[in-house]
Amino acid sequence: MDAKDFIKSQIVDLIQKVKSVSVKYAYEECTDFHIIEISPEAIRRGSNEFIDWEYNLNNKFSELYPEEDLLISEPSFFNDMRNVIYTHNIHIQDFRNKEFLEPSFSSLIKGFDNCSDNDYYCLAS
Amino acid sequence: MEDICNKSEENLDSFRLLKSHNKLDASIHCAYYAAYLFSIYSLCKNFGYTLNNIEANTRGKDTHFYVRNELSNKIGVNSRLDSNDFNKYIKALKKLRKLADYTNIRITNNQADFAEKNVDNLFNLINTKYI
Repeated sequence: MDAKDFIKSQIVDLIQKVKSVSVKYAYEECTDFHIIEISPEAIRRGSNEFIDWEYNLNNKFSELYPEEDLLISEPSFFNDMRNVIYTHNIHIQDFRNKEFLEPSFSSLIKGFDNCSDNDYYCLAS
Repeated sequence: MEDICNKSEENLDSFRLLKSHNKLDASIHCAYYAAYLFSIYSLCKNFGYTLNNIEANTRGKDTHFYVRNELSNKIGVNSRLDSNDFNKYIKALKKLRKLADYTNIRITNNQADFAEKNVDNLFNLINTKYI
């Protein structure tokens, strides 16, 4: 199972346990980061089931895919979520001010406008 | 051991200096390294690691991955929420560092502010509970 399929399977497990959670999973091409955005904050920081899920996912992902990067966070301007892989229970109010609703996003994160494989060049790690 | 703490603080000071002079791309890896070095300091000061055993356990491996994982696990014994927060802060910094150091995308003021928020949060978490 590749990393994307693994993450999707873990999200399916989550939404069975925490039904009201909203999830958006994308792959940020510029940085090769898997990004999972979670809302609302009451669940992200207040649900023990969610906190355990996030903790276990970080551990399992590190063990299975040590070469890959996973960020789990609240919805953020600073994540490029255009390459969406999976969503669940996304409401406008949960992702208010995100790029698809916020016209000023492009001026806020100018770099992402030109983000492409050609921009990614590998230097020393 | 205090040298690691001093190096971390020097990187943090350098981040703020570069940021205040609008040298945003160069500032980001200082923020990341401040967080990375402070994580090593926490492992040694609070959890009984030594630089020698960190080096021995990471020979031929990714030291940054090892340090992040070890501290995440140690913090998680006390608080899984703290461990999740630690992961979020250091990975947000790593993601910005990849943008700053390995792409031709320029870092914006907003992204530098976001780096500052994450490095400050990481220092605050470790200083408060894991030193």
